[in-house]
Amino acid sequence: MRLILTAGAAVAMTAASLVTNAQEPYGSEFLRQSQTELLLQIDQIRQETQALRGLMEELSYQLSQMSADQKTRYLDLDQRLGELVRIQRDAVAVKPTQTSPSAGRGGFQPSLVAQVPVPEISDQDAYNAAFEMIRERKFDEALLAMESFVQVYPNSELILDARFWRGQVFDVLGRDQEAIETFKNLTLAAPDYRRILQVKVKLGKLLIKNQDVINGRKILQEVITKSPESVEAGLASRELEKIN
Amino acid sequence: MRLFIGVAMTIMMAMPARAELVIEITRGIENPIKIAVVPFRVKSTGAFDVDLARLIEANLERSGQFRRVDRDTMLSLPGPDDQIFYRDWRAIDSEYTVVGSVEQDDQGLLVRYGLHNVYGEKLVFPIERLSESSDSLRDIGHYISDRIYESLTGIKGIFSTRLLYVSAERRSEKDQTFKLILSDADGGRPQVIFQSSEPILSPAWSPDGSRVAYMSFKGKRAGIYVQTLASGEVQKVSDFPGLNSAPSFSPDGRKLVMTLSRDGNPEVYVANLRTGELERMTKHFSIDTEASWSPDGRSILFTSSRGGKPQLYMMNLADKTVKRVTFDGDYNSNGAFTPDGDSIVFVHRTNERFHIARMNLKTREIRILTETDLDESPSVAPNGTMLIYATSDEEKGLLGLVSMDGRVRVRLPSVSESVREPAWSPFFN
Amino acid sequence: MSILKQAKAVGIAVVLVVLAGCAGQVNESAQGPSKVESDAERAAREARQAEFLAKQEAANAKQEAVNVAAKTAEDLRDGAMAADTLFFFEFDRSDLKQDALDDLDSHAKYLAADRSAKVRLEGHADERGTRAYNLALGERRANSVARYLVIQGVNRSQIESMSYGEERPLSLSRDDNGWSRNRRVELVYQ
Repeated sequence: MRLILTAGAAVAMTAASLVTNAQEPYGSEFLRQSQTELLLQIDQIRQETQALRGLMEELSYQLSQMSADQKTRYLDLDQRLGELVRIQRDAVAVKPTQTSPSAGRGGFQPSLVAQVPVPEISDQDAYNAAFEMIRERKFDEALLAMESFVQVYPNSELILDARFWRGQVFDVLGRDQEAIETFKNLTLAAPDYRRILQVKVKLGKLLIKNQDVINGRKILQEVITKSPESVEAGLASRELEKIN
Repeated sequence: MRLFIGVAMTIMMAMPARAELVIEITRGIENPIKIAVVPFRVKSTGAFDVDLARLIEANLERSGQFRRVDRDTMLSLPGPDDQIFYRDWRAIDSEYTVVGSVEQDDQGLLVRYGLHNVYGEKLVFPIERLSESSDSLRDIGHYISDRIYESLTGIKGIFSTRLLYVSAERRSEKDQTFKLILSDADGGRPQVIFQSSEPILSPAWSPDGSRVAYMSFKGKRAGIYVQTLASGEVQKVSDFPGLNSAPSFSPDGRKLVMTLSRDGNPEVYVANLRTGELERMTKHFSIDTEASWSPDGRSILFTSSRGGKPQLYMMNLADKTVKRVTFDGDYNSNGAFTPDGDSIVFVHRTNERFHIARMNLKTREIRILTETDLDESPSVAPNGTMLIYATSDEEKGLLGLVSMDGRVRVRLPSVSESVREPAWSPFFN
Repeated sequence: MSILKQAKAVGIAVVLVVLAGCAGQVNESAQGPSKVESDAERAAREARQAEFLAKQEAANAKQEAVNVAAKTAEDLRDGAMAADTLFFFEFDRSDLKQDALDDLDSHAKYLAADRSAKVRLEGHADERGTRAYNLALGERRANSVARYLVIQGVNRSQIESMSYGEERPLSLSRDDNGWSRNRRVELVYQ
């Protein structure tokens, strides 16, 4: 009997606790906390997504800018190269039909190239294009370009520079005899050329390397005596020290 | 989805405003055209309250492309019928000389004027006659300024256009008066066309200049309203719960692009003003707002923070594809197209300061046009030579003009109140 | 096994017995009155008494809970009134700062307890940046607060949110201090 009553009270207590719980419509404090946490997390995730989106937009813009730049650069180079090839082809095409009245003249043949059709690009542009190839270490093309430049623009102010670089490229390519010849011609044809000291040092070095020590030494010595203060004089004396 | 377009309309009466603008030219071009505007001969019983010569020279000077020749240095003051001694004008360095007269009789007002090329020693165009009713002397002055400007620069003048701006008077945080003001392009004849104790924002002109749209509050509720200037009629376009802001008319005047947050977040919508149809254009959990139409009506430019920071994006309206437009700086907003559609102007933050910038859409070259701080709300003049914007000094908001190359700068502070949110009207003719 | 659990188990058994007894009684009375109270009848009566007691006790408990609730609501109201009504934000941000949460919790508890209470959330921005953008930013700030309150159990219909953008600054000083005061949501009880 007592037992039963106690049991009844227990039931009542359970019921009462159920009633109290029912007063909270949105479930437990725990649920609310996790919702809050979720809310804050979603905010954070949204911010991160936005930041990522912004970064992606910027990177893809930079990428498209860069590839556009690269394409422009390529097209520019391609065009310049095309010009040079065309100029050279024109020059070559003119050559066979040439009956030069001054064919007997040595060295360059200005009259030969004088009849080459007037090129469309300026000498400076052609020179720059050729020089660009040296910078890009495309020496075979550069050689070709410098050679055609020399033929197409015989009266250009840049002609000596073109001949100078032609010699330099021969040197780089290990075509020593052609380099020696080019530099020798330059010293004879243009003793006042602003890079004449460089030409001479290079020529002296090449001569010595190719067993013509006497002439090589002579030229280097000349640089030292004539322009003792120059950078080239220093280079020349260092070359001389090597063989002494 | 339909918008409720208010049938019961309120009539807003225009009244004169105190917030008149003053003009201070801070920077002009290096070699402006020197022009002498001789005081107009007056043949009238009474006096006129407008000095036409002063009005014209001030107009021309404000463009930055002209410099006035001081009245005191003039050796003679010829009228339109008098012979001009060109050497007198060369002596005071005047390249062009304007002469004119105003007469008033029973018929009304008769204005005659001419423009002399001093070095060419001839009239630029024959003496012109204008007859008008007497209350429009300012209109005549603006018309003459337009005529002179166009014949000497080849560009259509903007002196007969008008401005809208908002003035604010603050007594405390909760006690303020906001006024929407309509004025001449030189700030003259200011009229209050709407007034409220709650903020007024984003005034925008309809393409024909007959109506203006703006954002305002009724009680605590934001709404977008379109007011017809001639009648004062006000039409409610939207007052959804939340944001209703940044209206801008389509080039054909039939649609309004605006920002609503009725779906919980600020998004760009297009409303058809005739049918009330509403189309949602953007859908992103970030802010999308400040949309404006391209002159060809094919795209809209808007501000979005979808990339974390406010930047300008362009939406192709045909397929709703969106492209980001600005990549320099971490705050670019409130963009608008120039009338030719080739460039956009916008607010650009650089070194923690907000300036007006212009970007050529093809070359993507950006030019910063202003050098004050907190510059905003750029609105381009209909001839594309200048823009008006809002800035502020230590005390209050003021308006500024700047030429599209940034070389000419003019300050337009208000006499008394703080002013902001300028909008330059289209041409009226 | 704890005593309480034991009691519960017995209690449930008793309820079952009572239910069985009731069902039996209807059949019996149909057969005719019975003079002697059977064991089953006595058990049923006692169970009914227990049930009555339980009901009464439950009612008492409920009344007490209501009393407690009323007292708590008053406390909650006081808590809400004491809590801050200004919530600040970083530049161009609309996420709640950690230090705002405690005060918002106080408001939420009160609003959840008193469904007749209503608030207006006014979002604001500092003057930097463009006006229409700042209007949208203020709106998002107000919405951030509204969302938080709803999750804490406040009914959406108790909240009205709006934005004033940069149009109603608290501070007029143009420095970081002034600006940080202006980037805010104001909670206003209606």
